[in-house]
Amino acid sequence: MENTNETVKNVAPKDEAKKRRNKWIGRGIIIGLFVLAIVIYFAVPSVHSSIGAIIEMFKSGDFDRMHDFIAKYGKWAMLVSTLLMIFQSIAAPLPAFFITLTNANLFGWWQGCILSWVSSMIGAVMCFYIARILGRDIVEKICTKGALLQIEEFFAKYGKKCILIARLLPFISFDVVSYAAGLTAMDFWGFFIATGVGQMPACIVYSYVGGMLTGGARLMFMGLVCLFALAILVIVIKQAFTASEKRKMEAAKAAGTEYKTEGINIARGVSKVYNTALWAMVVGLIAMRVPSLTAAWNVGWVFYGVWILALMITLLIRKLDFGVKFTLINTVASGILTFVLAGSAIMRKPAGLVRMGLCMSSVSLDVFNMILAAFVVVGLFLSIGLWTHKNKKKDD
Amino acid sequence: MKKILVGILAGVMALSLCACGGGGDTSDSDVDYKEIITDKDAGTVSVYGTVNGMFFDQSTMHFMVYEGGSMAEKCMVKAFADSQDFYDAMMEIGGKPGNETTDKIADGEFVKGQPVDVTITWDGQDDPVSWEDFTKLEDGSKAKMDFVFGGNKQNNETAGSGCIACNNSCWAGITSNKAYAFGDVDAMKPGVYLNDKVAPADGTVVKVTFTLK
Repeated sequence: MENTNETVKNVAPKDEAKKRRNKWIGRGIIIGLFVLAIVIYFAVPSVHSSIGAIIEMFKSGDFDRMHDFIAKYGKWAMLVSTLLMIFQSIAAPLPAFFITLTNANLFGWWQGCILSWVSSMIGAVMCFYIARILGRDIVEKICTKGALLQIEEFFAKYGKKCILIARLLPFISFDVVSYAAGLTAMDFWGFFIATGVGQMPACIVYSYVGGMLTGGARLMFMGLVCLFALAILVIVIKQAFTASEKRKMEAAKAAGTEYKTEGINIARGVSKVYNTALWAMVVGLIAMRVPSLTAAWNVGWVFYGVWILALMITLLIRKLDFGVKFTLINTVASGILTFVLAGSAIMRKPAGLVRMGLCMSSVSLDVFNMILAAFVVVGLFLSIGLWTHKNKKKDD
Repeated sequence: MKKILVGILAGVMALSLCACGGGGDTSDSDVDYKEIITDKDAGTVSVYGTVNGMFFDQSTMHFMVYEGGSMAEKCMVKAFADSQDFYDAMMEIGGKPGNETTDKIADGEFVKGQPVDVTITWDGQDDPVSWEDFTKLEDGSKAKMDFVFGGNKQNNETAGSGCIACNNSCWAGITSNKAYAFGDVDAMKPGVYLNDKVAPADGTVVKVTFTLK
């Protein structure tokens, strides 16, 4: 028995030392490659100018330039496309969807889609490992043990879902997500699967649907993908909250005390989002009537700015509640004010305000009118419905 | 409760999809809207853009702005082509830019340059419509029109506004209407609007032609 214990004790440090050695070798290789790349970039003029031209091409956003650049390599075009995708993954701020569009155009939609998916997966894996090998130890040193444990626990439980959400949201950089995931303790295969699944819709959209849908419809499609991602986000938050409540309850039970939970007050949150949006619309429409303001500012931002500010303030004041009566009166009053402020342009001004703030004038005002109408109706019913439901529950 | 939420979500998605269908696709695959069309003999440069219906009810000093410019959301017609390329095209057909300012001009000042005529056409409207008919003043009357090729390419690049044509004199617009001084339209003296009796609906692709005089 003693012998076995001794063997275990001897093997563990050996494994640890081997792991550490491998890590240092990995670091050496990555840093060596980086240094080599930097030396070549500055020492070889043709490489310097070629990389400059590639970055310029990405920055220009010119699809035709990208197309011609990849196409001129003939049978090597697929390899060049893959290398470009990896390059853009490591040099984070460059947009990848140009390559996806070009691949679909050059090799056909499904072949292009597969190529884009595979190459972006290679890029994501490389970013993940670069961050893990170079940065993980630094994170461990910077964070306190308690904080690190909490973060680790969160990522172990919800990491995959977080990656999936980040991949679905087009405005979050793919490469930053990969680097960030590498810094956490989440396992590689979890990252790999979530990335693969999350990346698929964007690949398909840009390869197939992207070619068919134009401006507004494409944006609406992306909007639906965002909606889907946000729905997953809500589920993750709810799960995290439930787990935390359960922990507190168990701790209270162990201490022999009683823990009373308030739960997530959805009714309160929804009615705050809804009511503050109405105020923001009225303020935005007033701002639209001030020529000096419209000349100097994008007044659409006034709407979003006031909305966010009012929402933050009302959320911070936890005791503040907007009941059914308040929501109804606010809706009617805001509606009347909107009519007064917009006048005969009622079908254009509110929609124009919202559209301007999003800088999306390629989408017609009709679309924004429909979204606004849906928001007012759904928001009103949701606010009132949730409050009624909450009060009924209380009475029971 | 879950059923209600799912129902609402489905309703919003259905509405969004309807909106997708009714989005008013104005694209025409045969035409490259990014292209700037030049005709040296006729002395014309034409640029494509989309009408921003917001300015039927809102005054703006920006008539046509490149979609990548900082003023793209504040103009009557959002152009597909870059203002810098538009300047080069105007030079190519023999335009003589004013190039008089190297910096901002003050409110009340005017821009100089070769006079330019501005007309607009769109699908179903082959006869060119003059800028003075395409726009209107607050009382519905015609605005005064005296466009010039101000040039000022460097100013345009520095400002990053993407301005191709301004409704009053401007130091950053490649062309601008010197019938009004800089700052006039922003100060509502007078306010300039899209003319809802003439101009096409929001999102319609139009071709704006600049003719050297």
